[in-house]
Amino acid sequence: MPGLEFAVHAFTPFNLMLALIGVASGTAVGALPGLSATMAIAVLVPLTFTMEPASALIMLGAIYTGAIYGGAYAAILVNTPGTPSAIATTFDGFPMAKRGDGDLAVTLACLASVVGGLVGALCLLFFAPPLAEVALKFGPVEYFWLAVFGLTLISALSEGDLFKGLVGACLGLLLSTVGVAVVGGDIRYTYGSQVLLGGIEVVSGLIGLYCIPVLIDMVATPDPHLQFSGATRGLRLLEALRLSWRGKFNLIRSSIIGTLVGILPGAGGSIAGLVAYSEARRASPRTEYFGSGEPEGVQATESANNATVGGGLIPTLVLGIPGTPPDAVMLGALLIQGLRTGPTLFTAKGAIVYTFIYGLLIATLLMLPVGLLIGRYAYKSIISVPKAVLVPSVAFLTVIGSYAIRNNVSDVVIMLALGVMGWVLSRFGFKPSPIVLGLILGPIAEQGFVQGYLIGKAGNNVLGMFFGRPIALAIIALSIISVFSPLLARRLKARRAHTTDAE
Amino acid sequence: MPNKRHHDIAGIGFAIGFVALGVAALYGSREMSPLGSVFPRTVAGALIVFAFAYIVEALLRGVEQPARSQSESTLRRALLVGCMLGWALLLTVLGFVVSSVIGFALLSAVASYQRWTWKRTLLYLFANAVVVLGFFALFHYALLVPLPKGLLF
Repeated sequence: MPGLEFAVHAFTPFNLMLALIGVASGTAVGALPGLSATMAIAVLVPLTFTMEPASALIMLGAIYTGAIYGGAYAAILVNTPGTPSAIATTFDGFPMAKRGDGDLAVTLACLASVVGGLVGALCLLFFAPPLAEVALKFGPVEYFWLAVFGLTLISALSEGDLFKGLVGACLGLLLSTVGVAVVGGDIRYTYGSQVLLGGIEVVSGLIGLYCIPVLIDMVATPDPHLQFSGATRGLRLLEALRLSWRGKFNLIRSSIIGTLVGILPGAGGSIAGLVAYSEARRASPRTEYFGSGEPEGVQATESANNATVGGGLIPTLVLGIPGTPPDAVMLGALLIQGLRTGPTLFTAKGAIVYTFIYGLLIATLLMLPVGLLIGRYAYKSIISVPKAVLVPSVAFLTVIGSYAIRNNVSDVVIMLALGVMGWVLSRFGFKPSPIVLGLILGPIAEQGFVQGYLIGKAGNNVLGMFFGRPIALAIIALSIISVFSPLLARRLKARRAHTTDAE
Repeated sequence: MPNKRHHDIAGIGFAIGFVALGVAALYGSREMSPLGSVFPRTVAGALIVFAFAYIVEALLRGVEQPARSQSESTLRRALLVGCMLGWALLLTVLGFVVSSVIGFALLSAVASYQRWTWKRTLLYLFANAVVVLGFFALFHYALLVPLPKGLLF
C-alpha cells in the first residue's frame, strides 16, 4: 500500500480523537437542513491553524464525510435532504420511514455511506494522479450533457406521468434562471425586485419544496408522522447487512460513480447521488419498486455521495482544482498550512498527505458506530416526539436553515412560497423532485451550454462541439438509455407476461 | 373497485397556466442579450411544448381519480402557512428569538390534536425554549451567523 509507513501517524490517540469529534459533529451538522458541510468546515478552519497539518486535515476530512452522511437522517425521517447530496435519498428513504422501516433505512444509509467513503478514500490513496486527469478531460460540453443526464432521471421519477415530470423540470430550470445570468451577467426575470436579484438559492428551494409540503400534510391529520409497530427492533443491523450483501454490486457501482463524479469540479454529491440512483434503478430487477421505499435506492445514493469525498479530494490534492465546494475550503486550509498542491505533493509532502488519507479512512470507519448510534436516537426521537413539538421544531429548522445560507429573510419567504407552490402542484400530480432537479442542474447546464456554444461558434463547428467529442457521446448514449430503459423494461415485461399467459 | 377514469381537468388547467408562463418567459427575454436569453428561451419553449403535450395526452387518455382522505383539515393547513409567513416577516421586526418563540408556540397550537393540560402546556413551552434558545446559541455564538435583532431580541 502506498505510504503505509505513515499510517501509524494517523493512529495516534490525538488524531483518532479528532476523527471521532469530526465525524460526530459533521453528522450533526449534516442532519440539519440548511447547514452544509462547506459551512461547517469553513467555520472550523481557524481552529485547525495551530494543529499539525495532517491532524488539521484529518479533522476537516472527518467533518466533511460525517456531514455528507448526516444529510440522510433528515432525508429519511422528514423528507428533507439535510444536504443537497441527499436529495435522491428522499425518493426511497422517506417512503421506507412512512411504512415503519425508518430504522432500517437509517442503518442501510450508514452502511452504504461507509462503503462509499472507503471506496472514495481508497481511490484517492491508490489512483489519485491518473484519476485527476479525468477532471481535465471534462469541458463545458461534457458538463452540459452531464446535467442533461441528471435530468433524464425525471423519466424514472415520473413513470406514467412523463409530461408532468418534464413540465416540472422545465419549471425548475426556468426558476434557476431568475437573477444574474451565470454567463453574460444579464439580470433576468427579477421585475425590478431587489429580493430576486440574487436568484433562488438552491438549498432554500430544496428545503421549501421538500419540507413545507410534509409540514402542511402533518398538521392536517392527527395520524402519527411515521408508522411505528411499537416493538423495539434495535438497529436492525443484521437485516441491513444482509440487504447490503445482496446489493453489493449496486454499492460498488454507485461508489465508483460517486468517486468519478466527485473528481469533476463543480458536479458535486447531488449529481453523483442522482446518477447512481438512476443507474441502480436501471440495473435492478426490482425497478418497479424504486420510488416507493426500495432499499437499493437508499444504498445507491448514500454510497455515491460519500464516495465524492475521496473523489473530490483527488483533483484538489493533485491539480489544486477543488472537486466540490467543501474541497475549496479544504484547499484554502492546505495553503494556510503551507502545502502547495500539485502532482509532486504526494512525494514532496508524502508524510502529511498519506497520514491525512489514512486518517480519512479511519474517520470513515468510525462513521459506522457513530452513525448507527446517532441514527438510532434520531429515529427514536422522531417517532416519539408529539406533533405539537415536531411540527414547530421542523418549521423552525426550515426558517433558520434557509435564513443562515445568505443571512437573508427573503430566502425564508421564497422557501415558504416555493413550499406552498410545491404542495399545490403535488396535489395535482406535478411532483417536487423534477422541479428540484431543474433548479439544481439549471446553472450547470446553462453554463456548459453557453460556453460550449461560444467555443463551437468560434471554431465554426457548433454541432461538432456538442456531438463530436467521445465523452460527450458516451454521456448522450447513457442519457438515451436512461430515458428509454423504463419504457423498454415495461414492454419486455408485458410481452413476457403475454407469452406466459399464452402457454 | 377500480377508480373511474376521467379527464384531468385540474391538470389541464395547470398545463394551460404553464403554457402562459412559458409565453411570459419568452416575452420577458426579449430585452436580454443573446448570451443571457438563449437558455431561458430554450427552456420556455420546451415548457410550452411539454405542457401542450400533456394537455393532448390528458384529453385523449384520461386519468384515474386519486383517492383523497376526507378527514384532512384545510383550516390547520392554512393556519400553518399563515403562521410561518408571519414568522418570516416578523423576524427582522421583532427579532429572531422573540418571533421564533411566538411562531413556535402558535405552530404547537396548530399541530396539537390532544387535550391541553397544564402539564402538556408546560412541556411544550419548555421544548419551545430549548429548541429556539439552543439553536440561537449554536448559530449566533458558534457559527457566527448574524441573526436579526429587531426591536426586541
